[in-house]
Amino acid sequence: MVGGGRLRPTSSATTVRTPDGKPQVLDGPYAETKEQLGGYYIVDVPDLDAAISWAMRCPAASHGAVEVRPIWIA
Amino acid sequence: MPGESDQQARETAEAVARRSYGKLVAFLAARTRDVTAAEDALSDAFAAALVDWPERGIPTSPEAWLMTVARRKLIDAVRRRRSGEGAADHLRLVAEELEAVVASKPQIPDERLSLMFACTHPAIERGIRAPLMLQTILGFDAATIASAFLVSPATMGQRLTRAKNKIRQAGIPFRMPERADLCERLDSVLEAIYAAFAEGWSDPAGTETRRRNLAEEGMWLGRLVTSLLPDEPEALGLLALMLHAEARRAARRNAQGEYVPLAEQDPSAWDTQLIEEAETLLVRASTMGSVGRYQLEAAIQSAHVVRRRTGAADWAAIEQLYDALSAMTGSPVVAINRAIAVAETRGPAAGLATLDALADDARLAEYQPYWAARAGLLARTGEVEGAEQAYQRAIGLESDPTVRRFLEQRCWGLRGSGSA
Repeated sequence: MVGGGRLRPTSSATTVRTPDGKPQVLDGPYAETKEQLGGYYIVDVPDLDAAISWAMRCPAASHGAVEVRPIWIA
Repeated sequence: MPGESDQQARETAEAVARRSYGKLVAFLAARTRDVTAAEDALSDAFAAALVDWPERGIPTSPEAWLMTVARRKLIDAVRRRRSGEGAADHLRLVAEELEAVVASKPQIPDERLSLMFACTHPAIERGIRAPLMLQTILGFDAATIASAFLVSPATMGQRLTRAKNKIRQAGIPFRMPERADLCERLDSVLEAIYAAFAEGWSDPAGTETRRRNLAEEGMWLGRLVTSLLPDEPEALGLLALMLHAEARRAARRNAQGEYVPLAEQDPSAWDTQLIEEAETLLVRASTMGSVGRYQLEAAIQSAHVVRRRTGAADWAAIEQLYDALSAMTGSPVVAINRAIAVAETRGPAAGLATLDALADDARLAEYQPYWAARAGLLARTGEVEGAEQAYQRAIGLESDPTVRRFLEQRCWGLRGSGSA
């Protein structure tokens, strides 16, 4: 075992997209059918705004979506 | 007498609740991000006050008393509920409480604006932002908010709980947004403030203290936002709009309590001071070079109240302003008002034609002002039968008994003047 973590429920999720460079922030998880999880990053930040600003910098946000989801910290 | 002090304690508690509720919630929630826990702790504190104050007298600073009790309740709840996860928060709270005790002046800082930005964060579902602000800043229960937003109390309760959980679990911050996001974020805040004001304004007789208070709280929040963000023209515009509306509160009913439409109101019953203040704000906003919805709506109010000086509303300006507003919002409600203005500038037939162009919008079938406007214009073009039918639709859709009586009288008057 290398690593792992427990995600908080989908009700805590926020989805970030930056089509045409204009940021879109929406309540809720990334829930499109026939799409899949393409990867993940773990960032240690103080709040959601900081997490969203990282998500916006992710190249995937411009052609797909980045779901921001907190993880449980024991 | 115990009965008397009981009554006094209750009144004081209620007065403090009205004035300080949001401030206390904001202060507690900003430190834990747990709005529900802050509300629960406060409601416990208010309950404790109603037991303690009649017996031991009302404390010199009721707000500080409530804060001390609420903090204690909050710490108890944190200790009970989340022993592992909440340990760090808990310790910080304890430290802060000690700090507050050490500070001799128990002055509670006003962090309502931060709470407002948290409630209207883009990660919160749009439709729940205004209700959430009404609950956290003004302390309204889910049932009251539900009735204003036309959903069931259970649904509203669930959505509010979900939004508060989101704030806590997703880590939505309690602070001012960055400069780049401010405009958009502020718009959500203004929208929610206006929703609160409109709810209070819809009770012109002022029979329900809490609703009347809502209009005052709306203006208060508007003033707070403009004092903290003095260079935001739309915040100034919204405050001007609310002050204009408030200035005419007394004139909306005559001595017998009957409804008086704007065109028939006595300008001497309008509150000159509020109108002057609104005009000053609007002029200040207009120098900032960025027109928006609230400034346009306030300017329309302003064009109506010139009647107090010139004897007539500036209908040409009103039509132009509604044109601009209609282009900006695409709202059918704005379009109805524009049709009424057209009836004044180009005659009732032209107004009616403008209204006819909207008839396809299904939303208007259930909208009282559409039918009342239609009835009024049909009456003026001599189509008595059509006017009667439209008045009946309007009467059936209106819930306010005084407005309904007004519409009924207009409807009866159609035949009275025609056949007599």
